[in-house]
Amino acid sequence: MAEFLHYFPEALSFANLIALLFGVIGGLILGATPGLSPTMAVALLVPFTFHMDAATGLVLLGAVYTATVAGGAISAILIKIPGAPANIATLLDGYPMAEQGKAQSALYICFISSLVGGLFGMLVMILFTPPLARIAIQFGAPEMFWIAIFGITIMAGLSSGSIAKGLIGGMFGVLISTIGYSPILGIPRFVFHDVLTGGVAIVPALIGLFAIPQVFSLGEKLGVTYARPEYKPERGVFLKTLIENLKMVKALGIGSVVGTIIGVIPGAGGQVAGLIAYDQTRKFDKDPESYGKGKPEGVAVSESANNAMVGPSLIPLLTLGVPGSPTAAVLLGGLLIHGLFPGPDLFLKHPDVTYTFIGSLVLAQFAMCFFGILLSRYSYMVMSVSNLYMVAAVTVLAVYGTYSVQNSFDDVIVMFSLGTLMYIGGKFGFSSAPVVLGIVLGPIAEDNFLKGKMIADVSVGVWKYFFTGTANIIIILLCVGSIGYSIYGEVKMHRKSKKNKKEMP
Amino acid sequence: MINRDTKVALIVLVGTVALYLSLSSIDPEATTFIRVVIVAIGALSLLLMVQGLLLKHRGEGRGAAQNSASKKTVYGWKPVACIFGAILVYFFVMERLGFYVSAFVYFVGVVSLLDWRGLTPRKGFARIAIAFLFIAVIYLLFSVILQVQTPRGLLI
Repeated sequence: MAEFLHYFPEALSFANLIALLFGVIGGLILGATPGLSPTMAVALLVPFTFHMDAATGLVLLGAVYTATVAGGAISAILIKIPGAPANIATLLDGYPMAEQGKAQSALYICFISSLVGGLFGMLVMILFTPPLARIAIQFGAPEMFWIAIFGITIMAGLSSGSIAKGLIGGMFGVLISTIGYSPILGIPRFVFHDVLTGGVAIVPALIGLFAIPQVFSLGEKLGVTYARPEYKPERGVFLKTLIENLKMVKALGIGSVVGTIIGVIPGAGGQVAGLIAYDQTRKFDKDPESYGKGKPEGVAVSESANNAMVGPSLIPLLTLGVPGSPTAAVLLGGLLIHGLFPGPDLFLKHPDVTYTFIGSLVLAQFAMCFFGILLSRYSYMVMSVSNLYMVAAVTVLAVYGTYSVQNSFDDVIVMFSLGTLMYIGGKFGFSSAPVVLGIVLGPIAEDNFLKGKMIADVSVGVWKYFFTGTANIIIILLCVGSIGYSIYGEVKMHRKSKKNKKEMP
Repeated sequence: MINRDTKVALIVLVGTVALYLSLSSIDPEATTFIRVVIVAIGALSLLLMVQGLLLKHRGEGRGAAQNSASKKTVYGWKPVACIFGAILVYFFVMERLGFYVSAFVYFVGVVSLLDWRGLTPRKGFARIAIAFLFIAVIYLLFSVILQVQTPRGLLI
């Protein structure tokens, strides 16, 4: 905490505040735009931060991350389309509120609750990240290898349709990361063309895998138009809503605590946080039947939960170097292009950048609430943007961002090829997140595997080195547990769909 | 009848075998980790195949929603093909015309190509204005303020 307070003024520098302002406003607009995912928004911005100071670049990315999660609630409330998966629970009561003519109130509750949840999550992050990093610093090659594998298994299970496809995607990503020269012997591998000599860089991969499939998907939905909502902001609603909102102690409390706990679990994400918190609040309420019919507590709990998970979701990234969510994986790309390697060392070698980033995330919560309330009256304009223009704009930004990092046209080709392959893969049930995580975690896994193998060969042997020791066993059990949990979820879903089929006439 | 997951698993399995065989020309020391990964992918594709054979009806399991969703959206292949072609042309002219001019041409071109039926002089002018504004903002923000380098051609 003392270190956080020591570096906090850095977050208030002019450049960082400007980045924060742009990030929050841009993030709110991008979050509210249906069809643009927050992960893609952050991925598109990563290369532009390359030309900024490391701390300022991260402030911008952190602000966009925070604001897109809250901004996604605008479209959930006004047009029943969640801007991000994290906002699914918000529409359950948010949209009925809008239908009842209480859209303004619902939007204010959304941003105030997001602030409450977000600050709670940040507090937990500030208190727990440095001690966890001190534990993680004792990890050696085998533990880091298993942690990389754990990251892939978690994401594979949760973000793909089937666990097998998720894991294949993750392993395919690891395979992509091995393109280029081998880290120890310097021998070229899979260099089928000159373009691949330097391997696949993280930024082209991130942009290609997240942005290009989205460009094609937008092309598929050109005919889709969203109804312009009837929303006329009135004066005097804010104060009334603020008082009403702060009285929802139970909903805000459950949302913040559940969101924080779910946030720490790698891969679980805001979608799970929002839905679990919503379900728990409904169970504890005297009138559970009123949920889903425009109950303000429903909006408060889901928004406090999905914003509470923002800070804690970065704990695995900052302490272990393992991104806990697709957006965290993109943020990892942002750290890497500045030569910062996330993990236990980050707090020791770059405390200024790390704590400035954390401090800016706290400020971003306030800015998100302030600008969210201010901009919500113009939000319907964002939702009127045609998919036609988004197709063109996203492509231009993707090409520009990819080229600008290394001034390499080869990177643009790699980006487009990976994106096109991912789009085709998406048609067969594969998703981008595990592949990206595989690319990000592949080098960590390979380096530590090879280092560990060399040590093991001259000492206790590979089996004993990688499969014994308390930390190794705990992480292996976590890997098995995450796969087991995903298989359980798949079997449960299969049974449910079978049951539904039987019940259908 | 083989379902889609089984076909996907089969393709992945054949691919992994081919990839594993292609490693024979590289020093085994440099491919130890890769071999482990390829074997893991092979094992997972077998698992997917078994899963596909057990769940005879396509669309069962957790992947169901995704599969059916992708099936529903297949109708939009024409715009996708248009976008794909336009991007290839964009890449081709980028190093000749320079980033900003080619981006402007791509922006106006792809928007007009995807919605040519409703094109009127008024709409055409609006599209040119929006494209110009968008490119001008990028130019000011990134080239002037952040001084990011872009592909340069005959023009800017």
